[in-house]
Amino acid sequence: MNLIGNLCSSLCSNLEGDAKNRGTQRTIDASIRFPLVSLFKAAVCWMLIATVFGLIASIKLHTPSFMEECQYMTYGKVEPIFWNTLIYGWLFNAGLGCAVFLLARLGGVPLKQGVSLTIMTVIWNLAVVIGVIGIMLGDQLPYEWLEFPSYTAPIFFVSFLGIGLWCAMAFRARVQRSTYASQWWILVALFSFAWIYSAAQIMLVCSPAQGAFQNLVSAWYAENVFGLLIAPLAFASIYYLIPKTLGISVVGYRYTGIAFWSWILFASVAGAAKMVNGPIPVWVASVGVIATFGLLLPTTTFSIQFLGSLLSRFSKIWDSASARFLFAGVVSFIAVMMFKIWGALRGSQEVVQFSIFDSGVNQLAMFGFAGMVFTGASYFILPRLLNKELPSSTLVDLQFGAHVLGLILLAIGLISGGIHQGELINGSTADMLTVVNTMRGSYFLTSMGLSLLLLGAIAYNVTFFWMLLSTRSEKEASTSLIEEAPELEYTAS
Amino acid sequence: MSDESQNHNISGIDESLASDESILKTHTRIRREPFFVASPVLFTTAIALTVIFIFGWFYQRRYMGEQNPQMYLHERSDIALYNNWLERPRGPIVYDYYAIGESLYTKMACVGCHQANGEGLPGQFPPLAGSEYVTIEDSTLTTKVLLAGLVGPVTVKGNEYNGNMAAYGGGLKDHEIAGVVTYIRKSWGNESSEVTKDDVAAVRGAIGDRAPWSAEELGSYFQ
Repeated sequence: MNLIGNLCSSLCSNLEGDAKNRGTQRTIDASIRFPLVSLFKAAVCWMLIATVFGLIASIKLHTPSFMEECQYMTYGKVEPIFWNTLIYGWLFNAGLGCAVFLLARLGGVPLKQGVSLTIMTVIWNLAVVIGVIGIMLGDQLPYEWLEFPSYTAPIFFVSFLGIGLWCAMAFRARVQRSTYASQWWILVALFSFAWIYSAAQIMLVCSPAQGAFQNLVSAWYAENVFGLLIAPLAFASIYYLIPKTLGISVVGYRYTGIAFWSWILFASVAGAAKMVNGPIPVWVASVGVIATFGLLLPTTTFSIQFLGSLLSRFSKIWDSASARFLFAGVVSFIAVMMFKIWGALRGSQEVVQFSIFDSGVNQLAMFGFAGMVFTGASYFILPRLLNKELPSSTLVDLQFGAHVLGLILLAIGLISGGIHQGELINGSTADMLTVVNTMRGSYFLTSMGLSLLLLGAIAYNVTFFWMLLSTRSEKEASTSLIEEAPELEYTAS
Repeated sequence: MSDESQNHNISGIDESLASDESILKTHTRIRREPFFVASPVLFTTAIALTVIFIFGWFYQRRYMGEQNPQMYLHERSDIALYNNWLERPRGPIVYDYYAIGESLYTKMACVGCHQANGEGLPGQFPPLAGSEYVTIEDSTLTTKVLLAGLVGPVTVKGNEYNGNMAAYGGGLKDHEIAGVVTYIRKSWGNESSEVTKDDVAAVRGAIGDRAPWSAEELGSYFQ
């Protein structure tokens, strides 16, 4: 099998039937094919790596002797590598891939300078690689989700500036004057990440703030990585995929503005809630708790919009790979927000503050919400980019089943396990080791969940590379598989 | 395969059920619709907004550290305890001058020259034990020497010394000077009176910031 030839033909397809069916859409897809394929390639590889590291970290919790010989694989190194490759490796690449596709399609114009975007994303991924090696060598920083060594920060920042400028120019080049919610969310993610990343780096690394204040900055940054980078990119994909895969307009779309502004307002402050009982004035943490509770407002709007749309075309969900991942992502989102809001209240922080609860909510947010949404979007995007069908629906089914089951086990293991752990630590006179031993069941459950996620990640990788490297079938080579999409009808409510 | 299971088999390519341009246009039209209409989204959003306002109002009343931006405690009982502690009755500060002096004498340069037994070093540093400069009834002399220092020839217990006693007025506070003076006046067999920080303040005010004394300038004390 001529893999390299197939890879090239995947990237530079020259369809015979193309001339007949050449629309703007195909030109648009062709203009972003190269950067998008490289982004998704990086994303699926990082997904596999992150899941492997997550599994190793989880196994170490119940079997500490696992890989204890290897000095590069201690728990203190594996855990940050897991989170950082998960966020800056998988989710950032996948989210950016979806964002670029959305910007191009909604802008309605072929985008230029795809090569420079590719170069920027390659630099970004090199920085992630350097960061992972740096953590293994022991250069890691002590701040949550900023563990990559300080010498990678300029590379990340410069490449992100390039990516952000490219996307801003892509947005500006649009032919439609009106904008859609997806585009707003992409702009939010781009602008706010430049803000939170530079602010956190300056206040934590370049000229460190006072000791107690560093905790606050670190908590603020970690919460905003979810609230102002990953979640907005996922919202953008959801808003786009609902009409695309279900053929209806988003339910209650005219109230999107409320959800948009209130999410930005509350999510940017919500991180302070982690500082409850911390060494800072009590009003700071209280403002954080109120802001986290305020997220109930956008969450309600989102939930009714997304669930209302999905449930009104429920039978279609099972016909489409994208829509079922989307559905799982939306359900995870609602669960995550409920846990976040409940977990921020002072009464529950008494129990869960220093337990594995937070890690569970974050893993559900990253794997369950953002991960599922981006995976669904990639199942929509990839066939259009490569003009190839999904090679095996069984693999997609396998990935979906493994991920859903894995997420359920993960949630039970870490979230309910975290509550249990907190109660044990608070309420019993037993020594810490007894508590740790009691928690072993939860850790086993988590490892099983992560193993299932790993199975899903392998299925995803196989699907992706099979699609990328396989020879085109007769049908795929001769015609465009993408049919003309019908118009979305406007029905006044 | 039954029809039903075929229906639920995902196809190779997800069908696009809406064109991009129509998504933009339709949703832009939806945004122009009147805002306040009976809609489940608006209804639940309004309920959520109300809940947040009620929660936020009571939460800020309860957990803002009693409106004190410097407050680190959030439990009302803790805050009350802390405030009571802040307002606890406090009497005047009582100094244990001898203890202060004892601690300073060994920590500072004193012990290096005048030695732990207060005997000094013969021919180099004058003794403090039994020294007329220390045991003199008018303690202002001792205080003056410690504050401003003493240079040049000096006769102590009949022996001639020619050294350089450093000035400590700039480095030590009034109660510390008083502590050192009290300590040396009450140790090694000396049994002179205690010196308080008010005494030191009076001397400090009288002599001001000045150069070290010479033995002649202080000669009036022994006439």
